[in-house]
Amino acid sequence: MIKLNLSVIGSVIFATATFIAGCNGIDIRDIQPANRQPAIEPDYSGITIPYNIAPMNFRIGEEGKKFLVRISSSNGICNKIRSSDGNVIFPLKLWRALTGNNADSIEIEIIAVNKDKKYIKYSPFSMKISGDSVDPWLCYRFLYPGYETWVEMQLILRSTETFKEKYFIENQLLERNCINCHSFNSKKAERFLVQVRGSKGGTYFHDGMDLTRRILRTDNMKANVVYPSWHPSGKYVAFSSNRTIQSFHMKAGKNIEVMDLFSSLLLYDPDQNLISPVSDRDTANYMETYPCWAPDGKYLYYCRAEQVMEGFDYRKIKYDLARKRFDSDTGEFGPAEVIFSASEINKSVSFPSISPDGRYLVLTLHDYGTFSIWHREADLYLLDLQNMDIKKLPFNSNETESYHSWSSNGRWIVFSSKRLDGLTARPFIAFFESPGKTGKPFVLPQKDPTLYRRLDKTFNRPEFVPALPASEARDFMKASAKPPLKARWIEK
Amino acid sequence: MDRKMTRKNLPVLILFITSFAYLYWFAAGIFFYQEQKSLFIFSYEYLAKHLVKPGGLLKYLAGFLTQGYLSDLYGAFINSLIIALLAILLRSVAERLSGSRSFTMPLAFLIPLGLMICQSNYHFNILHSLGFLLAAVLFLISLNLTRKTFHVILIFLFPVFYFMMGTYSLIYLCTYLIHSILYQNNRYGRIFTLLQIFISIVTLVLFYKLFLYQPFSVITGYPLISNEYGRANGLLYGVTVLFVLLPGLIKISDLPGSEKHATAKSTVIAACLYGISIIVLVRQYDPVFEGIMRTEKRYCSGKFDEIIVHHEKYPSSNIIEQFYYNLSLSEKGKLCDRMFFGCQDTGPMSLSLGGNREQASRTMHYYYAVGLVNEARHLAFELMVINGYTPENLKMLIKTELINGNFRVAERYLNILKKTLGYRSEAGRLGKMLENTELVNTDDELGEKRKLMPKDDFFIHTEDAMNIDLLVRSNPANRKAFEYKMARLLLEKDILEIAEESVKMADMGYTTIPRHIEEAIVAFASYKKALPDLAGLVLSAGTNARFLNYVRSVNSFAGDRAAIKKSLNRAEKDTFWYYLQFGQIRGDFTRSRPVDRNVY
Repeated sequence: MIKLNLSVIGSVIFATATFIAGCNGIDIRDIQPANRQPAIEPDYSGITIPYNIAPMNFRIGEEGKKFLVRISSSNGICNKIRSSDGNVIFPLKLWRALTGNNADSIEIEIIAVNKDKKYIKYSPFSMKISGDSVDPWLCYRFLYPGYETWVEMQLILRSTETFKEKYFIENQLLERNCINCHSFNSKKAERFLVQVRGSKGGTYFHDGMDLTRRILRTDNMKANVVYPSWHPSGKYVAFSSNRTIQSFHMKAGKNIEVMDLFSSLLLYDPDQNLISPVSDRDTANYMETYPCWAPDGKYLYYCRAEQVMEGFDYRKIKYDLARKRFDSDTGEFGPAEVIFSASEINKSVSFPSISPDGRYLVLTLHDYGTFSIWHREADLYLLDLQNMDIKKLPFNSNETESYHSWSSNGRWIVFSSKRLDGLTARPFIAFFESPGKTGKPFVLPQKDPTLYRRLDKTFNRPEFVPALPASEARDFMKASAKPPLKARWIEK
Repeated sequence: MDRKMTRKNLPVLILFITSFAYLYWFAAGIFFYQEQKSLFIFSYEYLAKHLVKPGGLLKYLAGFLTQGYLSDLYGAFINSLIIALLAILLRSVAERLSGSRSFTMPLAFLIPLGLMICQSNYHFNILHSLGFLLAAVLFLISLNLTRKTFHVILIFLFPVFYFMMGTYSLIYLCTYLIHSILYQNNRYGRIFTLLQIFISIVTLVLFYKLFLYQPFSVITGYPLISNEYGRANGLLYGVTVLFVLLPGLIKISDLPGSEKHATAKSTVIAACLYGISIIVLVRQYDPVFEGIMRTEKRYCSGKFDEIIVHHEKYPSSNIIEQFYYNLSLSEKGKLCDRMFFGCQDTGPMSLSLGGNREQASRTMHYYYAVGLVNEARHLAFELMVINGYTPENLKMLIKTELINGNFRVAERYLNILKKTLGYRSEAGRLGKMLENTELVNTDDELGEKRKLMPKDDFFIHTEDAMNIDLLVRSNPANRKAFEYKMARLLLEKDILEIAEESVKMADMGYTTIPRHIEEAIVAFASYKKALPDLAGLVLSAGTNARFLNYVRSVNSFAGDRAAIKKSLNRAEKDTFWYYLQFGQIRGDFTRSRPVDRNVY
C-alpha cells in the first residue's frame, strides 16, 4: 500500500511538474543536469531534414523508467511526449505542425526519471529543417544481403512523408524470380524499367501507358544487360552488359568479391526496340560499366577499367570515370574522355550519378574492383563538373557507403550505408546545397525506431521517385504471362 | 466404463498406441529432422511472415507444436493425439450421418490410418494433420448446427477459415458441398449451399486480387499441395480425396442391405485396415535414416565421444555417418589417430561430403571445424535465406559473426535465438560475449576457431582438397586442417605424399606422430626401404612391432585375401595397413594428386 502511494505521489509530482513546465522551460529543483546530449537511436541529433519528411521517431538509449520529451519548433509550436519504454513516437499531426509554417529547426529536450526516482535532464539536441522538400517516395529493392540464393524479394515504394509502403514488385508473383536493377526516367515515375532474372526474366518497360516484358539480349551480345540509365528525353536507355562472377573471401573481416570478367555499353531505343553497341576503336581494351546520363543528355558518363585477362589479380582492377559526348538526334557517340583517373591514385570508381542541375557528380570511391557494396572502405566523393575538383563528402563512415541517388530538386542525396551494423545497407538521406553546405545524414525514419536493429534484410539501390508509378505488383504478373518482345541488334 | 463405450473407443486407443509406439521407438528421427528444419520465434516479425499466405496461421500453429520435438516423447504423443482426435471427430461425423450404424465406422478410420502412414515420411509435417483436424471440426460443427442463423454465420466466417487454414478450408468446403448435395434436399439446404459457394468464390477472388500478393497456385494450394516442407505425396492426396468424399462413402455404405452382419463386417474390415497399416509402417521403417538422425542429433548436442564410441561399435557404411564420425574425431583432435577404427569405405568424400551444396546444413560444420569460418557463415546464411532460421544455421551465424568480430550483427541473431523455447540458454551463454568481447578469445570453442582461421586471404574453391591446401599454407599452425589433409591422403592411399607432408609436423608442434600417419610412414618405409625425413620426430616402437605382427599374420595365409580378412583381429583391422590392403572406396571422388603417385 505504501509502495503504491509513493508511486502515485511520484506520478502526480511528475505530472504537475510537466504541467507547470509548459513551453517556458522546466524549472524543477530536483532535476540533475546530465551535461551531455542523450544517446538516441537512430542518431538524429544535428541532422538536417526536409520539412515534408515522415516523423523522425527515435529511441532514447539512456536508463530511465519514464521519459519526458519536450519538443519546440522555431515556428512557435511546442509540445511534450511521454514515454515509458524509451520509444519517442511523434503523432503525424504534431509532427506536421512542428515542421510546417516555415519552421527552420526543432529542439528536443529529454528528462529521464530513473529507478531511484531521480530526474535527469539531458542537453537538448536539434534538427534543422530545410524548406526544400524531398521527393515523396523512395524505391528500393528489399532482400537479404547475400550471396547466391534468394526466395523473397520485393521492390518497395516507401513514402518519405509517412510510413506507408507499397509493393511495387513482389517476386512471389513472378515465380520467385530475381528482381534486379530498377530505373526511372528522369525522375518521372511513368516511364521506368525493371530487370528480372529467371523463368519470367527480361526487362520490364513501362512507357507511360503499358507494361511490357522485353528480352534485350541478342545473339550478338556476350552477356545480358545489367545496369540501366534513362536518357533524360526518354528516347534511349543506356545499359551495361556484364559478365559477373562472385567469390568468397576466407580471411576474417572480408566477405564477398564481385568482379566483372567482361562489360560493355549498349544503347537501347525502346520505341524502335533496337539495341546497339556503344563502341570506340579501343572499346575491346576496356570493361565499361555503370552508365549515367548527364541531365541535359549531352554526355554519357561511365566507369571503365582495363579488360582483365586470364589469371588476373582482382586487387589490380581499377576503374576510372569517363564520358562520351552524345548526339541525341543521330544517336551517335563521340570518343571516350577520362575525366577522373582513379587508377592514378590507386583507387577505383563506381556508381556515378549527376545532380539535376548538371553541376555535380557523386561517385563511390574504393580500393579496387567494381562492386563497392562489399568494400568497407567505399566512400562517397563529389566531383565538381565545372572545375573537376574532387573532394570527399562529409557523409561517410567507417563502413560501406555505396549506391546513391539525387532527389529531383537536387537538394537531397539518398545513399546506401552499412554504418549501423556493417552487414545490411540502410538508406541514409543527406542535405546538399553546395560542397560546403551539406547536412548531417539521417537514416530513413521508421514507425518503430528499433526496426533497423531487428531487420535482417537490406535496402538496395534506393532511388527517389516523384510520384507513384502507374503499375503495381499484379501488373508485372500479367505482363510476365505474355510473350516477351525481343530486341533487335543494330550496328552503328 | 461400460462395455459399449470400451468397444467404441477401443479402435481409437489402438490407433493412438500404434502411432505412438511406431513414432517413439522406430521413427523418432523424424522429430529431430523436423525440429531442425524450423525455428519457432516468439516475435511479431515471425508471426507477420505467416500472415502473407492463406494457411500461414496453420503453419504458425504447426511451428509452435514442432518446437516441442526436442522431446521424442512429446513428438510421438502430440502427433498420435491429433490422429486419435481426428478419428473421434470423423467417427462422430459418421454417426451423425449414418445414425451410428457400425459398418460406417471403418470408413471414418481410413483417414486417420492414412495419416498415420503419412507421418512415417519425414517430409510430412504436423500441419497436415492439424489441417484435417480443423476441417473435421468445421464439418462436424456444420452438421450439428440447428439454427439457421448460426448456419449463415458459419458460412460468412469462411474468409476467416480460409485465411487461417488455406487449402484445408477448401477441403472442408468440398466436403460440406458434397454433404449438402447428398443429404440436404430441402429449400434451406439448397440456399445455404449456393450461399456457401458464392462466399467461397468471393473470398478466393478478393484474396487473390486484393489482399495477398501470391500466385494462384498458392491461393488454392497452400499449404497442402505446396509448402516449405516439400510437395505432398500420393498418399496424402489419397487421404484428401477420402476426406472430401467421406459423406458420399458413408451414404453408399448406408444403403439398404448393408446392415446385414454390419458389426462382423466392420470388425473384419477394421482389423484388415489396421493390419495393412502396420505392414506398411514396418516397410516404411528406415534404419539408415534413423541412424543418421541419431548421429546428427548427437553432433548438434556436442556429444562427439558418443558418436565415436557408437560408430566404432556399430560401423556404418553410410557416408553421412562416416562424415560425422570424422568430424567428431577432428573436434577431439583424434582424426589421424582413430579414423580407421571406424568404417571408411566411402573415401575422401566422407571428410567433407565434397563440399556438396545440397548438404550445406552438414558441410557448414566441416568448414567451421577446420577453421574456414567465413565459408561456414556463408553456407549458414544461404540456408537461412532459403529455409528461414533453423537452430543450427542460427547458432552458426551467431558463432561465426562473433568470431569475425561483427558484434552488432551477432547481437541481432542472438536476440532472435533468445526468443525461442529450446535455445535460450545457448543464447545466454553466447550473449555474454557481447558484454565482454574478449571472452571470444578465451572461449574454448570460439577462441580455438579464431586461431584456426586463415592468416592470409584467399577465395574458397570448389575443390575441397585445394581449400585445405590453401588453409594449411595460410595458417601452418592449423593442425585440424593439416590432419584433414593427411586424412584425405590416407583415404586416397597416397603414402608418397603422406611421407612428404610428414616433415611439416615437427614445426607444427607435434611431439608424437598420429597413429595412422605413423602406420602410413611405416608402410612407406617398407616400400621404399627408407624412412622419410620426419624433422626430428621418431616413430613409436609399438608401431613397428604392430606392423611386423600384421605382416606376419598376412603372410601366413599366402595371399588368400578372404582368409586374411577372416583371421585378422580387430586391432589389426583398425589400421591404415588393413585399409591400404583391403579398403575399397565406393563411389566417385577426386584425387588430390595424380594417380600415378599412388602405390595401389
